[in-house]
Amino acid sequence: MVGSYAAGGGRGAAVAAVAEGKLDELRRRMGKADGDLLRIVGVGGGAWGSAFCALLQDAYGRHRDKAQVRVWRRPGRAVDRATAEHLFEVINSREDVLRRLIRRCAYLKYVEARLGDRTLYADEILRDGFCLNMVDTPLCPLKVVTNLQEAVWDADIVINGLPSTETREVFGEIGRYWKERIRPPVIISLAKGIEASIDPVPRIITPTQMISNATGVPLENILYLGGPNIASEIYNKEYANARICGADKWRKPLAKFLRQPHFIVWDNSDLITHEVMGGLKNIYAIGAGMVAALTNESATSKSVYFSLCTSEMIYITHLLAEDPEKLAGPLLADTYVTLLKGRNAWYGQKLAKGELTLEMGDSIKGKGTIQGVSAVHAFYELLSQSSLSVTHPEVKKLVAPVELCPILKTLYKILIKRELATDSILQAIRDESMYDPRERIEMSQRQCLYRPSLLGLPKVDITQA
Amino acid sequence: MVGSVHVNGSVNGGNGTEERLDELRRLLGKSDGDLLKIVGIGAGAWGSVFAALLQDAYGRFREKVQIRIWRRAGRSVDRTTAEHLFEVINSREDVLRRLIRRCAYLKYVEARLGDRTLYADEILRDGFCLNMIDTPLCPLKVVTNLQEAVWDADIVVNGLPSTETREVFEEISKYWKERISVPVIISLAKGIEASLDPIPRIITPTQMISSATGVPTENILYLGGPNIASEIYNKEYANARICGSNKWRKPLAKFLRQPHFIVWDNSDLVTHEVMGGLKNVYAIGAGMVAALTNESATSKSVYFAHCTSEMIFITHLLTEQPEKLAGPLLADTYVTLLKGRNAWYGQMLAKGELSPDMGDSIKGKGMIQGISAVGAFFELLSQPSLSVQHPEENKQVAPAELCPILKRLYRILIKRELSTRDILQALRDETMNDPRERIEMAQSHAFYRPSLLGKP
Repeated sequence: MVGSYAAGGGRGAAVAAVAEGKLDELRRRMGKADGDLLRIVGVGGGAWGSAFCALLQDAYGRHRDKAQVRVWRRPGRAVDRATAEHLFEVINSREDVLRRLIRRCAYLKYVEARLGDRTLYADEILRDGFCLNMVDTPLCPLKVVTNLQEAVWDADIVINGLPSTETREVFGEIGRYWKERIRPPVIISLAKGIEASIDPVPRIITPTQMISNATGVPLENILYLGGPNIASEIYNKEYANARICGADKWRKPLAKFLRQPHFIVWDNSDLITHEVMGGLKNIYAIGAGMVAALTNESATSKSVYFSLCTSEMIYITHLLAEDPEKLAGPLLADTYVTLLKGRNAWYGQKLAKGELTLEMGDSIKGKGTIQGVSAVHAFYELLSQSSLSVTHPEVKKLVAPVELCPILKTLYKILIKRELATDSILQAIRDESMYDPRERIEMSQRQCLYRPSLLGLPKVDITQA
Repeated sequence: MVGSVHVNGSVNGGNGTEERLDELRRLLGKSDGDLLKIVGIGAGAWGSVFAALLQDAYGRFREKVQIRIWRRAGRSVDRTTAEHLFEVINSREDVLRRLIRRCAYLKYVEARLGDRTLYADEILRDGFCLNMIDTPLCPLKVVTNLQEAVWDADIVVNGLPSTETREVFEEISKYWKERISVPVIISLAKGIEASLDPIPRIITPTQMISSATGVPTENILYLGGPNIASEIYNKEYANARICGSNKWRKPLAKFLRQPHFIVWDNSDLVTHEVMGGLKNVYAIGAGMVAALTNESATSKSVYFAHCTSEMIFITHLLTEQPEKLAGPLLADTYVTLLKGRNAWYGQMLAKGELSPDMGDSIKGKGMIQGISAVGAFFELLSQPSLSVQHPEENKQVAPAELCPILKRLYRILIKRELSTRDILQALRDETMNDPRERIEMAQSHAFYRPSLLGKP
């Protein structure tokens, strides 16, 4: 290929050629002329957001005349002494990282920080590839921008790596910078949390909806990327699957662009189910962590919990989507890994062991935001609204949907109301009067539970869909 | 309640338990003085635990019920196991006291010293299952003569591996030829067989039992569920599901249920029994993936997505309206992939600590049912007479071609032409179909093949 920047051996050259082909294809689709860079910006420097941008930098960064990958994060976040000491150990234990820092004349500041003679900042270390939430997994060096306007004003693709709790605020600001844009950008959201609004009618607000409302970018250009999200494993080339959900126009070309040998991206049109399920499973991941800790990793108790929580998830999904994807296959895999590992499950374990308390809040140093906590609150409040009543299968009267979700109710009382201790989660799964989870599943499939208003959709939109 | 015997426990518990026993006795037509006879056949981990649970729950009502367990005689306990057993006994004060009280302790000292050979049936009487030494059970009535064990049994619990079920129940049928009353049989076996002649079909343990004994299918039930026997006996909370005809499944579910062992009932015998065998196939692969990727959660989830989609596809071939793989069946799959001897076996193979040449019966673990199930399912689904439409290539293919993990496991475990590492290649093949496509295909097309389960 004439003009290829391929470096390294034949294998590397071949990989680079494939990558360049994919990059060229996406550039054409986005109408980029020669000399006009494809600008990709990650917003937010959390673990997954940083790892995602690093994957793109590793894959396409060498084509400096065609693509530019940047990350925005807020300035001013100081690295504490203990973390600086640990970071120093990580650097010194990785020869490749140590060599790189020495070569870039970027090493000595870590020595100074280790000795307590200097304060490092999160944006500073991220330029060297260290994410504050994932210090043990060094990434490639990244272009880090701390000015939001400078970062996004001319971006072609924006990756939302923010927690959902910050998405509205940050994209509200971004919306101001984009007022005079000619061409709307494409936005890929990684955020998994959701909000509930109960005024004027009860409904869920997803991160993609927040982004669309805040920026005016049409939903056609906003996609959700979901999947098992152990960022350090994905960056370390553990084989992983993800799923990009959204409108036809962009999801297939983006799936192709994002796909790498160890990171398979499939595409799906069902944005709602995947984005909401992404938030929903974090709720039950906290409970799974509690059960694991309280029963000393009992596989038997985990399976009982899994059976009950998946039936609640199925039930809730049937309220939210008219024809939801079956909870089998890929969505199931996401649920499986989220319950097995990940920070929400980790958080549940720590609470149950007494190593963390609720008063410490849902943003944990070294871990980031525990999205499941706010999601418990959102789903509980939403499903408690009497205007959404469903028929109780045994008592034959109308009840709020949350009455049929005992695990969700218990998690709400533990995490939000704080009137129950963590071991109440075991009582919830051991209640002999609890329904066979199969009954809940059958009910969700038999009754017409669907409530379009829950996602802010009037009936007519469904007809058009 | 006049005449009630309370050995211990609360009156309420006693009343509830005895009431359930009385109810079942009435259903089985047992008059006063006529014992309800329950026999477990086979003393693997789960079979032993199951009998022990019943003994713990109902054994005190000695004038109403008798619980026994049959196992073959002659299986000796090797020196290493005897030494370990001695450690277990001495580390458990309750067990030690019990053995001393029953004058049954000194034989373990002798065995520890190598001065005596113990036998599996002998130690099982004291509550030690050879496949589960670390979890002492309550003492059990052990019978080694099969005729004596089953000739007048009212309820028989099949705790045999599926590979022994046919043989043993054929022998049992000789003893039952002149029976007046028909017994109720609960099968715990999870393996399956494939028969290719005259037409390809699966044979399940309950079918083997029915064919061998002539007992009508109405009286044969399957109990499935996550089956970590030691955890269940240690009162970890567990769910199980009893599947079979209307007549017996609800009363038995009620009888078997305990505070820490919930039993639900289901009419879909076929799906649950076959899925019980099918998930052991994929559990071996899950163990391999876990070992090869150092417990990577990300790789496990990829494996899980693919193997569940294959399971769904296969289930749609076997059953007209299979239960959705969600909820309870999912929980079974989850725990089987997470823990259990099939997953353990896959891990050991991948680490090189075991090899396929050692066979599928492992000392201290029992039968690895997944191995024979791999062979059975693969051979069955390879038959050209079962061809289905390939989703992309517009041609007819055998169903096995659409199950790359099953194919790979067959070549690793049965043909032995691939190493365990190749299971990762199956996951990492970029050309592999999106698992969602397989699920959609299974649900949208009429794949059902009644002949696979011997139905016209």
